[in-house]
Amino acid sequence: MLKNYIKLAWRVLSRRKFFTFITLFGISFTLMILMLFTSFMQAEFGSRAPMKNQSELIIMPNITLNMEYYDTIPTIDTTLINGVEKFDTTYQITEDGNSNSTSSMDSDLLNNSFRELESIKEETLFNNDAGYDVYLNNSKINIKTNYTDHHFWNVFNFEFSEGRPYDKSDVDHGAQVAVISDELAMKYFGRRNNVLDEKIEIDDKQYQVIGLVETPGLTIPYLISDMFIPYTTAETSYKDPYFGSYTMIFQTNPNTDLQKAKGEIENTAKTIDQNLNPDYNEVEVRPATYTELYAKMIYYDQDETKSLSVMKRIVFGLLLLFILLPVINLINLNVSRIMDRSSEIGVRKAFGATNKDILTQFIFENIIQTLLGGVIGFFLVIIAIYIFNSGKYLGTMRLGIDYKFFIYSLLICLVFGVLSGLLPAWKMSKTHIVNALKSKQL
Amino acid sequence: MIKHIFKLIWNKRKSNALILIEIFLAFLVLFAVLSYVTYNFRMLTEPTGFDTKDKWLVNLESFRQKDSVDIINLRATLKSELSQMENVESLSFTGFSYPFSGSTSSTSQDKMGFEISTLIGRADIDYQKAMGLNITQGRWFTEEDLTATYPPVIVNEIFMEEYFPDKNMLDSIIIHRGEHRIVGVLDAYRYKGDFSENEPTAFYLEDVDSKRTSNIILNMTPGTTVVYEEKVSKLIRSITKADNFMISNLEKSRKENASDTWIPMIILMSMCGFLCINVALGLFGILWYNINKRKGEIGLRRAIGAHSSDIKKQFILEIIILALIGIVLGVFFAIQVPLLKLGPLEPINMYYAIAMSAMIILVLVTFCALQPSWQASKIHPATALHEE
Repeated sequence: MLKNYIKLAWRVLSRRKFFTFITLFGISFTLMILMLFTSFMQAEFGSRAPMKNQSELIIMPNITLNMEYYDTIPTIDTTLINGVEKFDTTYQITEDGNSNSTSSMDSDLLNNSFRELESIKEETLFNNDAGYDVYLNNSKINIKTNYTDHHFWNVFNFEFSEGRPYDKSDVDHGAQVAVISDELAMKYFGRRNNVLDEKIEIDDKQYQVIGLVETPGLTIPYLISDMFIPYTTAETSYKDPYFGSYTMIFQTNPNTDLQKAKGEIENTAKTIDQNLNPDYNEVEVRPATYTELYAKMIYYDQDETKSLSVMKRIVFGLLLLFILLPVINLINLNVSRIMDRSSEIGVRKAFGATNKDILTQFIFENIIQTLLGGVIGFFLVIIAIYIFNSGKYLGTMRLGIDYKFFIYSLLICLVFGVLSGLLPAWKMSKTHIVNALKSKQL
Repeated sequence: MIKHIFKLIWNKRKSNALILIEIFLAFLVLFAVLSYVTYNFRMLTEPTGFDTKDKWLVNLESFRQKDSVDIINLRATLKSELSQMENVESLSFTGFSYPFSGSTSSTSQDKMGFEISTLIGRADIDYQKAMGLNITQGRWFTEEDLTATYPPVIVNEIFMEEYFPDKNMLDSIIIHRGEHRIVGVLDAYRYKGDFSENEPTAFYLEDVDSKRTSNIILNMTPGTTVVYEEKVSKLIRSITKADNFMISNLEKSRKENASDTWIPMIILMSMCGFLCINVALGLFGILWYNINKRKGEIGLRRAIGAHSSDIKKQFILEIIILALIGIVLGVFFAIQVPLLKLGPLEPINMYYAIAMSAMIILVLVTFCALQPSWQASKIHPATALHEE
């Protein structure tokens, strides 16, 4: 039976080559785009090393200091009290204006106030702003540094190809050690291995390489650094009570409500002394999840949860349109083409085939057709990913194909096939034998 | 003729409904993508207000670590030593609102009785020359401004349009972060990049001992290479005695900044382009098939005297009218977005997008109908009628 169906499907496909081409082109390209989209989403929001626990992370990129100016308006009023005229003054305090300043935070502030929160499993502070220019053989190497604490290596899961991360004692003692990325190793030493115990000199200090990590194929800037160094080796003689150059990322306890954890962080900020800087009178933080910050970057709104919901609506709307359009296109094609085969259906029905049989046959044919398109699309996607990755068109992002990705694509394929085949097949299966046979094309 | 075509469309309403939905959806996709693209292209054509060619930027972290006297000395030394370098044409110290810095400092006050919100820029008296800013009214900061009774402020044109429309405010005092005299107006300063919004911006003059201006803009002789950068780096290092500064090329930063917008835009446009090809091929297939099925009708019309061009006209008009119905339906929904201010974009972008989407669909549909209807018009009445 199955063999018959496949044979039939193949015959139908090879009968009208031009239509087959249109159909396969539509299916394969749509699937390619959908697969690329899944791969992109996987790369950006999936749980990939070194951010395997992305869904548990809350990022606090900066602190905002607000100054509210108030204006006091005295109003002098005369009233009669017991027949005697009295002067009465009232004061009205109105908000007159505000100014605010936002910056990354001071390390002491973070260490003293934001460690050991209830809903947080572990937190890390780091500064990835700095960079150093090194000139080697008439070319410039820009080393992006990331000054971190030792918690960094627990919150993020880097893959070490050599050596180890620095630990608590390294950080406490301000040890001049560094974990470097394989790309820096290539640029600086000209090789991607055997770099342990080599020295890199920046900021007049010799850093000993103790670990080598793979450069992550993600776009999150916090992780795309060439050189990770214990933050205690950074010198700062100028200190502000709030502002500095550090960012904090919290990893919540498993199964903790992220919104609740955000609330706890926000409340913690309120317990900080609000008046250490005379220019401001209010301290505020806006912790957000990775996806919220991502959405805020694209569509800015003060409230990042709103940014995210707007982004979600736009992406889903566009995606829906992008899927719906080719599906309707296919339905359209199938509806007009299926008329060709009314005589065939008439004969089958005359010999006793039920509506269900006809329906199954047509849907099966469509699934075969979409799977064929899917295979072509899959090859197209592999080529496209290869082009994207080798040309580095997406910056540091590396698209990948994994088994999940393959299953998603297969599912998309099947939904596509059933959707585009259902309506025409249903319509055809309803045709009466007589009408079907009346057609002269037998 | 038109009435007759409407009748023909109505008679085949079932199969036409699907084509209609397809055109309608294609219109919506085009509308969404083109709104975004139009917005970006309109931003791209506006001037950013500054030059990036042969401009280098030095970020000095160490400035924050010194006291005021140190900074005055350091700045004076840096300025004189750097400007003596052969390839340095001019230089300027600026705050964090240098091009593509990614940081924002803004303020909002209603001291003048209405809300004024602006971005804040901080620069010295050389910034205009170093960055190639265009002054449209008044002048840039001068030496005398440092000791003026009212500290000076320079704003951009959009600031004027938004808060003091149709007034000449040059040399007037405004109360904004204290009393400031407006000494000049810039045409634009979109320092966040080629695709960024034009926002009201106010420049304040920074004194020589400021801790806020820890960035140097170097205007280099055209054609200066990275080899020379090492020399600059060594000089700065010998003066600041620190290594934690970075030199970057603003032209390169501009390209990197712009590619953040170009890449998603190109991806969206190619997806959209592919969808159009897909829809066009599909439509072509359907039309070709449908017209082939109507051979009898064509033969009959030819037999009673219709010219082959009449046949062609009929089929093309049929599909154009069908497309128009789809477009009208699409416009009805699309126009709600700017009318109800649902989207994040300015309405004008969406009106452009609506017009362009309609055009593209009409062209596409006509193009798809050409070959099948030409084929139909070539049918000989005898063969056509013979089949029936």
